[in-house]
Amino acid sequence: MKKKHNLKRDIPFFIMLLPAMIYLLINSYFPMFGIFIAFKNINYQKGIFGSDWAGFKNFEFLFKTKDAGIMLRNTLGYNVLFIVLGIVLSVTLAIMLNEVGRTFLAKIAQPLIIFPNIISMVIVAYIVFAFLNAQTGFIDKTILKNMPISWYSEPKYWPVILTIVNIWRATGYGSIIYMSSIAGIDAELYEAARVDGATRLQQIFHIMIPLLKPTVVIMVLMAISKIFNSDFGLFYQVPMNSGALYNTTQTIDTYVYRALMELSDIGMSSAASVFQSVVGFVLVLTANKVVAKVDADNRLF
Amino acid sequence: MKKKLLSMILAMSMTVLTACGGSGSADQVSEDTGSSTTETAQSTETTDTADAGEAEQQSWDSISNVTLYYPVYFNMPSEGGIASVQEELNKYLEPKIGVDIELHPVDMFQYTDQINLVLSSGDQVDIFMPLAGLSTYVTKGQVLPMDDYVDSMKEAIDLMGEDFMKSSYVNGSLYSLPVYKANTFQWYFMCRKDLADEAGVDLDSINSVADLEDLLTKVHENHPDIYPLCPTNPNTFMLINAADGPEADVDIDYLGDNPESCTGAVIGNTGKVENFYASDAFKKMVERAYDWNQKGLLMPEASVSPDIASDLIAAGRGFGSVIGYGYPMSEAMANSGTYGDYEMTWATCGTDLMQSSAFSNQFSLGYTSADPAAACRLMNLLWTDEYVINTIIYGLEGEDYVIPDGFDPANAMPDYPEGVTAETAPYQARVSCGCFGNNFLMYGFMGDVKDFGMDLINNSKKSDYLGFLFDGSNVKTEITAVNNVISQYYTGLECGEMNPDETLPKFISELEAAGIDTIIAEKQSQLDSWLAQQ
Repeated sequence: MKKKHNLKRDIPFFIMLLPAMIYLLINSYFPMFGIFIAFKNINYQKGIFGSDWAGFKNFEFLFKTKDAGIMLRNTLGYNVLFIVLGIVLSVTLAIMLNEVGRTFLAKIAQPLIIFPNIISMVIVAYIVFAFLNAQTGFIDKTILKNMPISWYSEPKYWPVILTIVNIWRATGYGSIIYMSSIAGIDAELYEAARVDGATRLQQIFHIMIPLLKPTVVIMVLMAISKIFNSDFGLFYQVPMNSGALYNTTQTIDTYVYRALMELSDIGMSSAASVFQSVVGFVLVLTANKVVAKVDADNRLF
Repeated sequence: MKKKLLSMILAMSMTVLTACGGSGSADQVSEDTGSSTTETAQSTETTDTADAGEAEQQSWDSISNVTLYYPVYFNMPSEGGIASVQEELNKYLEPKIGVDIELHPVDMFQYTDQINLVLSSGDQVDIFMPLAGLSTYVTKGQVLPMDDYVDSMKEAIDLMGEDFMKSSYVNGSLYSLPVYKANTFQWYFMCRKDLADEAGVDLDSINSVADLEDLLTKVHENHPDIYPLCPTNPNTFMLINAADGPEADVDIDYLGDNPESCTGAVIGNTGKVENFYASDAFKKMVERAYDWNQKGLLMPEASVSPDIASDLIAAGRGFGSVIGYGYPMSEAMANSGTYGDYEMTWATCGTDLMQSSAFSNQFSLGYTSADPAAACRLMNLLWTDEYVINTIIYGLEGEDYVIPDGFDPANAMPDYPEGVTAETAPYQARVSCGCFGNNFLMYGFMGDVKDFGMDLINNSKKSDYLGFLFDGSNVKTEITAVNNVISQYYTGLECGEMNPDETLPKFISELEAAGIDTIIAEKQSQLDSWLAQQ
């Protein structure tokens, strides 16, 4: 579906786009020269281009150990879970808030659900700690008074805990974009449906959700590009860096941090981000291809 | 002011801990320094360079700008304060050595990161601390050799003597000057006096960490609500750190690492590099920690709790903690006010073995140095000139500190002026005293502290491998993997929360899977060739 371009009419829009393009250029494209660093044995006196090539040696530490499998599994697993749950819950919340309307309650609810997102992860970690620690923790002292659990040494509970924390933190913020999409839906559509006798629920399932689909697809595609990245604060701070929990809390970012904190080797840390970016890039291309096959209108590009 | 000395000492112990990384000798050194094109290019764009030849003349027709990046703790000096201190120093330094100093205090807890940033951006860095391990910086080409300028630093080098300089050479070239201070710790158990008296245990009978059990048990029986042993720093009781000397019955040299991340140690002067975590010594230590944890002698869940001894004791919830100082405890006690209303007392728990890496707190010459000769002249003064050292540590007299009547500079720190505190002084870097130049020329450290320090320096047991530096660049992959495994198990074992019977075999087999034997072999071959050279 090609539209005719009227360049004269578009010029103001391109000018509006300019700051964002410059920002992207400086922050996302120029640093891509740094990819070289991932393949070099950096020597500062020789400079980036003068340093010796290291081949794929800098990448080895990402795959060499048995921990590597665990951390890749965790990174992928949590991200898939967060993407699916995030979309279902954010869309539901957006619809529910929309149904509440412009009441006083909605005015209070909106800031409240966004609030967790602006709290620093370090503070979130201590909120969680206040619930779970063994000496004064809320859960062990009230709900599980007779059978306290030592949360910080039992890896099996953490997939659930981390998921709850992530939902608590991200859902409200995530719902904003869907609320704005809902607000953009033409009111006449609902009116027409009401005239035909559609109930509130039918309006939601047959008008709102189908019209939200493009937004959802874009959000999923963008999330997929970050599928090998993880929220460092969530996986490092919230479990209080407890070694016993690594089986279920280690992700690629915490692994790189722990491994390179002492070495401070920029070649190896660059290798890790190159790997994350390349996998993200390939996945976005693939996902977009799939979308293009299934539902061509909603593809990203 | 009161709690400053204590926090400073704590901070210093942290420096020592952070200062251990991979280290060793590098093959490319001579090549690297030969190709100094980048360096000269850098220097012309950063400053008005003084020609090295010119600088040799005593008249100093041109003044060189020298930047000094040094760590500070807690309170950053204000910009105005830095400027006026710099101005005063330059009045002194310009005629004396032809140097204009530029002070760059850096927050200690971000020091390594910040230095990496300024070094990689190519800014002029003349003098800095290679805290991530000297050999790492040599391999990366971030430091310059100082052999050509040895004459201008002769005083400083002679002052410290041969032993101190052992860690400063990489492949035969001089790359650093170590901080002159007591480089090993005397370990103490510091505790509440009232509870210790009540328990009725003679503190003089305690000579090691193991001897504490009786005391801790009695306190636990008397006061089940109080944690007998509290973490010194978050997530560590320092039990293993304090136990590497006489306590483990053998001398353990971590060969540039520390117990928290040891990729291979020599246990008992055998010349053979071993896996520390698979040793009997380590097993003994963690079994005791587990036993104590089961008996309720350790604060539970210490591996995740942010609580530390000083807070717990002040709140009436803790009894004592193990801590290592390079100072006499009486000195630290007299100045400490961090334990609330409780009177404290202490027992001694042995001294450290002087590790191969004892001198890893060092100052080096950055590869972007504009005038290395001038930088080395300044470095000499940082070890030998009382005025320069104390001005950088305490600031300006009258503005940042005052000398009270009857003041004994050898044994006391100067006061702050009326109405000024550590937080509001325009300039002060008092807490940096233990990681800067010559500790024993600073006010407050020239008397008792110096005697105590010199005693530690001269009389501690010295490792046979003193001065050995390990270069891990060939086994980086294995080191990262091994570090990850260690961080998974170490804290839990040290805090007595993991049962060593179940965990230790798993820990060891995972270390082996991560390639610790490769690192050990590499360390062994470097150690062998180092020993052959001695």
